[in-house]
Amino acid sequence: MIDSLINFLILGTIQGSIYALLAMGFSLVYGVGGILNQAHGAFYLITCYLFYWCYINLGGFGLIVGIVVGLIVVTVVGGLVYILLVKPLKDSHVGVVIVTFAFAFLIEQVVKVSVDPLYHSMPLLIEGSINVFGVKVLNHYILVVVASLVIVTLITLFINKAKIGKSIRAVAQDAEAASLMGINVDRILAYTVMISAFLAGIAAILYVPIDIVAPHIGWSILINSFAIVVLGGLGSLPGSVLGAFIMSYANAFVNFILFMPEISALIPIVVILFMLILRPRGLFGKKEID
Amino acid sequence: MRKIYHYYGKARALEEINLTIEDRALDAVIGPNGAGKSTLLRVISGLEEPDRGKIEFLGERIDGLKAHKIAKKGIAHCPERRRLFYDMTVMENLEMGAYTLKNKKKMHELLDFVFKVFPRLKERKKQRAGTLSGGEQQMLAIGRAFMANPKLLLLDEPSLGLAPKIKDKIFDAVNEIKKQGTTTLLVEQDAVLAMEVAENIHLLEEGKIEMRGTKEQLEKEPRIKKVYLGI
Amino acid sequence: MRIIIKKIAEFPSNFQSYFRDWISTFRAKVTVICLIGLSLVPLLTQNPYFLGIFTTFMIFTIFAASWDFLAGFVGQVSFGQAVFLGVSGYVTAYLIRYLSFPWWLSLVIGSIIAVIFGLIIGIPALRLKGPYLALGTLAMSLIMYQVFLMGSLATMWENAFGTNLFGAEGVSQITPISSDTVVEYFATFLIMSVSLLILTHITKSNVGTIFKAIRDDETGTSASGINTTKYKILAFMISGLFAGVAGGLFAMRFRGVNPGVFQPLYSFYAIIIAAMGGLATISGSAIGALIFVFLGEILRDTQDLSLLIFSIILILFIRFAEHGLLKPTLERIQELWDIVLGR
Repeated sequence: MIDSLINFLILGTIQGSIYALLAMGFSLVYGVGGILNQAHGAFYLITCYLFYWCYINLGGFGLIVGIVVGLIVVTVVGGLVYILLVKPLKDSHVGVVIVTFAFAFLIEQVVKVSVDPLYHSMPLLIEGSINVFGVKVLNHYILVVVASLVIVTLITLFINKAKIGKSIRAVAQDAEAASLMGINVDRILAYTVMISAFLAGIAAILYVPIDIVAPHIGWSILINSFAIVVLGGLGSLPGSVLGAFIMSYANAFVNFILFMPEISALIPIVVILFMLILRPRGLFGKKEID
Repeated sequence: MRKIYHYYGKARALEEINLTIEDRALDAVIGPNGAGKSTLLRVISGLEEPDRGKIEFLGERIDGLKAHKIAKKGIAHCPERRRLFYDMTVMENLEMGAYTLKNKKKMHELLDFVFKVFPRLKERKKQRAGTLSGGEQQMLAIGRAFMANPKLLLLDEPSLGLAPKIKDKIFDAVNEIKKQGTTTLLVEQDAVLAMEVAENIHLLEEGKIEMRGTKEQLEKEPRIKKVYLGI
Repeated sequence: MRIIIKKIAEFPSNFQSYFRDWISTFRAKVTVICLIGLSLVPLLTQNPYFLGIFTTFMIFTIFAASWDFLAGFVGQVSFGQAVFLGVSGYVTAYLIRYLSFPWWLSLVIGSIIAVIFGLIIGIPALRLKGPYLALGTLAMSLIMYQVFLMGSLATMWENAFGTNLFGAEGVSQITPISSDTVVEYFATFLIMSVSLLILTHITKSNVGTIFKAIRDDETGTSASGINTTKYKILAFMISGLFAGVAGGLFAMRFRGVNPGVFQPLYSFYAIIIAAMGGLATISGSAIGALIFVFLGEILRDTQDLSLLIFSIILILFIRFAEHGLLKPTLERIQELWDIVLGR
């Protein structure tokens, strides 16, 4: 009983930290550009497989190369996705949805064809564990929480204080007025998608060592990000962080307290349906979705 | 000599329009609701594209350019209904206004001027724009546009929905900006107020400039008197 | 509902004049030629493998047309079209396998259940627009996938009824429409022709005009006094019906179904086929499905590669060729036709 409670707390916190990064990026892109990016899971997948590929082909040294390459490539891909696919179709919400959906499929097939369709695992980024009040906690878990905390803080500061961050907020509030200030709205949107992709990349690097590598995981990443953001309120960054922890504790509760892992896959979907139907603005959203 | 000349036909509400603004002048466009006054400004600042014709600014064609590029050339548009960044503070809104400005010193000068003209904004520097009163929001909108150090300032209906007292305050500020030497194109439904500050007045009706002239010239027109000045 | 019944009652008399007008158009001639061509295929080959490919192509045509109807004509983009396919497929398969129902009755019941699912999905979906509808329906298909995959439900069902419904194996070993592939071919051909005819007719009817009005300006349509809610639910039900027909045929064609039919993959198939053919064309789905099924067959051994190619095709179509293939192709043929006739 105590064991499962500890598992619940630790894994809930770990997953919450990861999901916070994913949901923040997803929410940011929605809040700034009104884009529901179906390729968010694909961003995760790209870094995940680059990281894996570097590790397999270059060994232990590949871990570091993989992190650098994975993050750089996913950020660039994010920018390209915006410029080449989303921007030309911006006037058609449906077009954006279909084209990003297709992109997500494309990436899934690319990793299947270029690597393989099997499940793989990765080593922890840092080995060892420490004892906290008699409970063994993996060092990697601590790394995940600290890294996530640092990045969430940095992103929040960036959005609130930096000039680009302020422009991002201006575009989110009124894109037309922002363009009158001389802000290039398309460039800001491209930056936003790049930041979102970068965050998904960080999440992949932190999560893959304790999760699996498989072509289909992109979809569960997408559905979970969407569920969290719908729960926290579309476009609200604090909402997405809080939503991430609610979702992951709920998930951990079902897995480690109720022992019903089969149900856990249903949680995000049920959350999406209930929130969209009952309270579309989410817990912290300011306005209703339209 | 700065000259803005533009001529185009049928951009939505607009018929052919020929309008030239002299350097350091304050021109006003008056006219009834739906005459195309706002469309005119939106076309100049690049929010809407003219179907044909051309817009020249400082001897350069600007029609077809994106709004942010036109802003960088020195046209600041204070849009209808203010369009502030309501979740940002007063100060942040003003900073956004100065987005294209590279020179920090100039920015402080402009900020001092805005705070001198609108002392209320200084008091509420750290307050969120959404929490300001209607008049204060209008002051902020004008201040934000002025922060770009514009070569041409476009003001769209600054008196809209404000009490007479506040209107006067806003127009005092418009006068200050004029004295300071910024070329301004003012669009205003309140013809009395507009004619008080403007040197040249253009009457826009159903997408066409029906009449133009100085305050003295237009005041003599019986139709203007009757319809717009209520004398 | 009353309108629909009246429509059906008027159908025979209207049909004659409608048909006479229709057949005089260029498009109608092309359609008739295509249909005659398709009905001649079994004369050329009776190879079960080739006929099977054609049958698959016709099933996917119906499926994609059901999506195109909803997305292209009513403006409701669903990423959960697989729900209808799967539900009807499961019902049809179950009835044939365990209750020994005849195939056509199973298909009818399966499609009716899909219509009910259209209603179930349609009602919550009414609150959602554009991308939210897409993600919401995607979520619904994932729910179905997870539920049908559940091992514990499989055991419970097996203990209660002694049959297999849930679980990874799904319902297998069902008999096809006929062991004779030619009969199977013609049955599918007939069902496809009727389905496309009805769908096209709906889009051209008064109801279809309302659907298009909802697609183009929902607020305006509801402001003009039309109950958009009712029509959107109706659209979901119609779309569910034909996707359900495709689902039942699908289950029989492939001798069974498994939870995989609920995956986003099948919704993706519908979208790519409809996009290739051209949105809001209904019969464009036939061109899309033809390319899709035959290209898929050529790349059969490398399914992942074929999906990769299809993803790229879909991106290119959405990005550069919104109109798909049908309209431009018809225009080219018409030009050619005019040249041949010396007009």
